[in-house]
Amino acid sequence: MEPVKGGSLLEARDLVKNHREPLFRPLTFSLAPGEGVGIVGPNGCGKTTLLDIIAGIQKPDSGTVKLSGEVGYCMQNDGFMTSMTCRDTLLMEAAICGLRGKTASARVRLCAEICGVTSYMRKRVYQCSAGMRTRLSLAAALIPGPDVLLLDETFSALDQTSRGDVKRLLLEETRKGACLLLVSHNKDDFSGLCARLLRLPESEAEPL
Amino acid sequence: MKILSVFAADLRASARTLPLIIAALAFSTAIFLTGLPPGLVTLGEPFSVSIAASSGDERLRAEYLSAALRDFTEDFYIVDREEGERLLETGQVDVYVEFPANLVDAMVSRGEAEVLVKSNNAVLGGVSYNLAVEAANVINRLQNISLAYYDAAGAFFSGDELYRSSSEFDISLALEALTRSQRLNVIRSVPQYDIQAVSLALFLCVSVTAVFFAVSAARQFSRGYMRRLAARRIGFFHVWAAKTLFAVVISVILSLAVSVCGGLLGVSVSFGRLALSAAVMALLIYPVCMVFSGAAPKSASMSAPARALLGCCAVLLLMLFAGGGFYPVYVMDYSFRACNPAWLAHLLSEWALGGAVPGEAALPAFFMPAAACTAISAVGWRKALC
Repeated sequence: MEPVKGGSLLEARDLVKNHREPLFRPLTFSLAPGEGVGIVGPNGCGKTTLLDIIAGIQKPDSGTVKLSGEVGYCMQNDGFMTSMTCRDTLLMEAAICGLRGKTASARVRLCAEICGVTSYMRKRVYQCSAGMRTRLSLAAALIPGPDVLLLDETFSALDQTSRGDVKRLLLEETRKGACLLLVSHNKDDFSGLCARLLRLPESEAEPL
Repeated sequence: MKILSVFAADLRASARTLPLIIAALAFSTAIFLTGLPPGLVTLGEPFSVSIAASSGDERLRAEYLSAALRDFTEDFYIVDREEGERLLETGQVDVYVEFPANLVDAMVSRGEAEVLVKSNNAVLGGVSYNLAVEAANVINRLQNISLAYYDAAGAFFSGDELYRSSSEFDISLALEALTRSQRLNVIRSVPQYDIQAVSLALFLCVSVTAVFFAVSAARQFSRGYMRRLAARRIGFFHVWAAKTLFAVVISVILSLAVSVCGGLLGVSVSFGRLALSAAVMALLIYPVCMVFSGAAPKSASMSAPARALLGCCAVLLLMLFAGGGFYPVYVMDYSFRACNPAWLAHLLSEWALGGAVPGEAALPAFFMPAAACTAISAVGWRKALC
């Protein structure tokens, strides 16, 4: 990933990804600090693939992605080791970020408090409900102190109360300067968080 | 740091099941080792046996017997039959071997021949077996014909017991023991049963560990854990290194269990050498198994762990087959044996039990499967994440 020059945290230019045929039209967009963009589209149009490309899991077939700062990725399938405790899961994220000892523990405690997972830190991941795992995934995404937050169907497993909590959490992060890319099938999820919508596979942006 | 993070995560996740696995393997290893014959000779003493040999084939006697026996011992006499039996009766030699006049013809034309081996009471059967095999091997090399190993391995004498066995070339080994009770000063360098038991335990520990971790990695792949790591910029090399390190550590711990069990049962095995052997085997077998954890073709009817298990078993069997595990060794090029993990376990076990450093381990074929599979895994890694 190349760093971004200027004010944007994320810049994608003419992104193309093929899967037997192009998933979406060449995509160009940018994100400034504190900005949120929603991504919508039918199933299989490449929404998750787009997030994967930005996170560095997949490479685009053409185009460039420039990124400044850390990326936090809250995946649709969290991919946690289910036999680990929630605390160990977050500690592992902290270790990957290079945090150790008390610094790591403090960061884990903070992110757990922000996401409301403090009460089940001792539980193993397989013992957590889908909503708890979503919160845990969010906490894990916040560990590196991300400048760019990628959220893939984060709200789908949450009840109404939790949705409100998570939205407040994300708003707080944007106020701190992070930018959001949010994938969802429910347009209500974007309100308050995203100023624009990116429609795939047409690769068209429209104000929300 | 990233490697250690993945290593630590694997350790935490496996912490609940590892003691069970280790206990199961240690128990099965101990059960197997109890099948060893009691009173096995321990190591450290040089191998030495005196031999009198004769042959009715003048050319064999004049040109090949000395070269054949020199590979086995320095203390030998090429004599006629009467002299050979006299030397054995008086205790001046430990073993008398008679190669029949039709031995070479039998090897060439696949006829019948009988090699007579006589020894005193104190000689373990394996000595005569080794003697006959080594001598035959040398003759074989000189004559450019391979011989099969006899079924007489590990046979013991008592009294006038006569033991017969036959090979694919219809060459029998007739072993006779005299009633004398004169003991030899030393017997052999490494008891065959020790090598075979330790090598089996070593092979089982390492291969089961490798398959277990490969299946575990496949499960992690299917559940998105590898994708999660990739998002944190932890790529193929970090994961491969961490998981290989984990497999090596577990193999070394298991070798400690084998070493302890062996010690309790009177088998003297060096833990340091055995641990190093386990580490080397893990480094060679684990990458081969890992290739199926992510790069295996997807199937709707089979889960990722099941595919990984099937793939690991298939490739291990293939390596065993390619290395001559299931057919007579003489029909293959010797260098192919190097890709047989059971053969590698055999060589390393002999070294751990005090034998010579296995020179064959330097053959490229030992490392080729692991290197090739690591390359395949690296190529398939990214594809598997999509």
